[in-house]
Amino acid sequence: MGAALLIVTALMASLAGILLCWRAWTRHALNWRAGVGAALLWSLSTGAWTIGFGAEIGIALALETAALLAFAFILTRIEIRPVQTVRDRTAPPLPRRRYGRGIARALTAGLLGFAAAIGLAVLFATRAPLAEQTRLILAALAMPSLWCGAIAWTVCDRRLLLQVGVFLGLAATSAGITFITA
Amino acid sequence: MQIPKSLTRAAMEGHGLLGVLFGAVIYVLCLTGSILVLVDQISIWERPDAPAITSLSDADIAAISARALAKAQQAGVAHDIYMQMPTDELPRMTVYGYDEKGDHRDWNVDATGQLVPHAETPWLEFMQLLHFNLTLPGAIGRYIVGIFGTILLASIVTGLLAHRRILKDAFRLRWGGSRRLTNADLHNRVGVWALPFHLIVALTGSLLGLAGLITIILAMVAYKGDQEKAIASLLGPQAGIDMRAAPPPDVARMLRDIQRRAPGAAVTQLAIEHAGTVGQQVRIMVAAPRHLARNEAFLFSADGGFKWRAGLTDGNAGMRIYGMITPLHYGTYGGIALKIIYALLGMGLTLIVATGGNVWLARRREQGRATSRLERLWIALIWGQPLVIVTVALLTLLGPVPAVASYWAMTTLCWTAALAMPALSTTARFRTSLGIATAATLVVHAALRSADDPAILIIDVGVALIIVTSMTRAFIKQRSAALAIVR
Repeated sequence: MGAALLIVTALMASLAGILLCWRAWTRHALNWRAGVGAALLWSLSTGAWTIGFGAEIGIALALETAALLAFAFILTRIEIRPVQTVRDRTAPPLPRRRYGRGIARALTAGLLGFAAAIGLAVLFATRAPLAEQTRLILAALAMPSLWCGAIAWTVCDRRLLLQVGVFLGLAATSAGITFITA
Repeated sequence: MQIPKSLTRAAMEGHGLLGVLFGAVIYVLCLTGSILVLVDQISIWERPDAPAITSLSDADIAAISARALAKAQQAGVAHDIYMQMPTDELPRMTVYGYDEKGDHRDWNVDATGQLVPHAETPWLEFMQLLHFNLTLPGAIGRYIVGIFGTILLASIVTGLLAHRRILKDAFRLRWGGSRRLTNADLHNRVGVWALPFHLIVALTGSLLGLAGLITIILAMVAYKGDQEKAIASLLGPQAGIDMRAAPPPDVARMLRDIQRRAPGAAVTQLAIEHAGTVGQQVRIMVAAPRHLARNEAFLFSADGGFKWRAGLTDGNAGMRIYGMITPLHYGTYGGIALKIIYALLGMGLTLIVATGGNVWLARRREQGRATSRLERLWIALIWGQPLVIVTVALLTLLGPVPAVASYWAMTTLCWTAALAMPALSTTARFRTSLGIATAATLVVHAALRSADDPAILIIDVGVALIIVTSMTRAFIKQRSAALAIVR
C-alpha cells in the first residue's frame, strides 16, 4: 500500500511538472519561473521514487517515467494537419563531391579521434589522484565520451587541419606524460 | 545565450551525415536491444516446457553445485562453471560449463535438483548474437558494436546542437501535413524528452562493446601488459594456475559465511573458476535490492575461506559505478515494470533513428533531389528488419534452421527486392507482410507449445487475433476510401 501511494505521488508530481511547463509553453512564457516550478515538482517526484526504491533506482525511475509521461501527454495534444502533397521537381545537380576529403574526415574522426581519446583516458587512469578502481572506471567511461566529442567536432567543423593537429597533439602529449613520468 | 546559427547549421549537416552513413546499423542495434530487454520473458515464451524452480535453499545450491561439477567434468567442460539461480521473472536454473577454449555445454536444473538437458532457445540466442556482435565472430563484433554506440552518442550530441527550437517546439507534434514535419516532430519530441535514457544507453552500450579493447590498452600501459592484473583490479583476485586435481569446493561453508555477513541475502549466481583444481575459487553474487548494481560479489577459496568482496553497493565510487553499468544498459534493476519502461523507451530510440532517415529523405524530395532507390532501401530496412526477425522466429519454431544464415539471406532478399521490384517495396506491403508473419508465428507457437503452458495459447492467439482484426479493419477502410474516390 505504501509503495503504491509513493508511486502514485511520484507520477502525479511528474505529470504536474509537465503540465506546468505546457501551460507556460502555450502562453509563450516558458521562462525561469516555470522552470523553477517544474523543477520543484520533479524534485518531489524524485523524492517519492527515492523513498520507495532507494536513491539509485529512484532517480533512474524519475527520469524514465517523466519521459514516458511527457510523450503520452504530447500524444493527446497532436495537431492534425491536412495532407500535403509534394510536387515533383528536379533541382540542379549538386557540385561534385570530394570523396577524398570525406575519407580524410573519417580517418581523422575514427583513428586520430580515437587515439586522442584513449591517450587522455589512459593518462587519467594512470595519474588521477583517485582510488584505483575509480580511476579505471572513469577513464573507461571517458574514452567513448571523448571519442564521441571528437567525432561530433569533425563532422560539424570543416577545419580538418586544426582537428588533425589537436588530436595528434592530445594523443602525443598524453602518451608522453604517461610514459615519461611512469 | 543563443547558439550561433552557423554552429546549428554545421551540427545539422554533421548529424545528417552520421545518420546517412551509420543509421542502418544503429537502427538494427536499437530494434534488437529494445526486444532483448524482455530476455527472460522471451526465454519463457520460446520454451515454456523448460523445468521451473521457484526457490532454492542454501543446502539445495550446495548439492546442485556438486552435481554440476561432476556433470561438467564428465562432459569435459569443467574449466569454469557458472550457475544462474532462478528469479521471480525467470523461475529457472541454468548451469553453464566451459572448457579452456571457451566451448560450453549447458544444462537446466529440474525441481528435484537434477541436471537435465538444456532447453535450447535458438531465436533468443540469434537475437543476442545480432545485438552483441552483429553476428560477427570473436571479439571484433563486440568492438564494432561498441564503435556504433560511440557514433550513436555523437549523433545525440550533434542532434542537440542542431535543435535551435528545443523550447519553442517542446510540446509540438504535427500529424498528417508535411511528411518531413511529422517525422521531424516525432524525432525531436522523443529525442529531447527521453534524452537522459538515450545518453545512458548509448554510453553504457559503447563501453560494454569496447570494454575488451579498453582493457587490453589499459593493461599494456598501466599494468605493463599484465591483463590479469588489470582485470583483477575490478573483478578481484583471479583463480590460480595450479591445475592439479583437487576436491570440490566447500560451497556450503561459503553460503553460511555469506549469511553471517549479509543475513537473508539471496544467491543469484555462483561461479566455480578453474573448477576441481588446486587453483580453483568460487565467486558468489547475492541480490542487493534498492541498488542499481543489483548484486554484491564475494570470492572464496576452495576450502571456503573468504578472499574478497567487490563493494559494488557500498565500495568506492569506481566499484559502485562499475556495478551499475550493465544493469543501467539492460534495465535489469527494477523487475518487469521497469523492463516494460525500457522496452518502450528503447522503441522510442528506434523510432528516432527511423524518423531521422525519413526526415532526410523527405527533405531531399522537397528540394527536388528525390532518391527513389534510397527511399525503397530505407523502407526495406525499417519495416523489413522486423519482418525478417519475426520470420526467423517462425523458422526456428518449425525446425533446426540456421538462424544467422537465414537472417542474412532474408535481409539480402528484402534489399534486392527493394532495388529490383519497386511495386513490392512499399510501406503498406511490408507492414501487411509483418502482420501476417507475426500472426503466423504466434499461431504456430500456440500449436506447438500451448500444451506445456495453457496461458501461452491465450496470449498467442489473443495477440494474433488483435493483429488480424486491425489488419482487416485497415484493409476495409482502405477499400472504402478507394471506392469513394471511384464514385
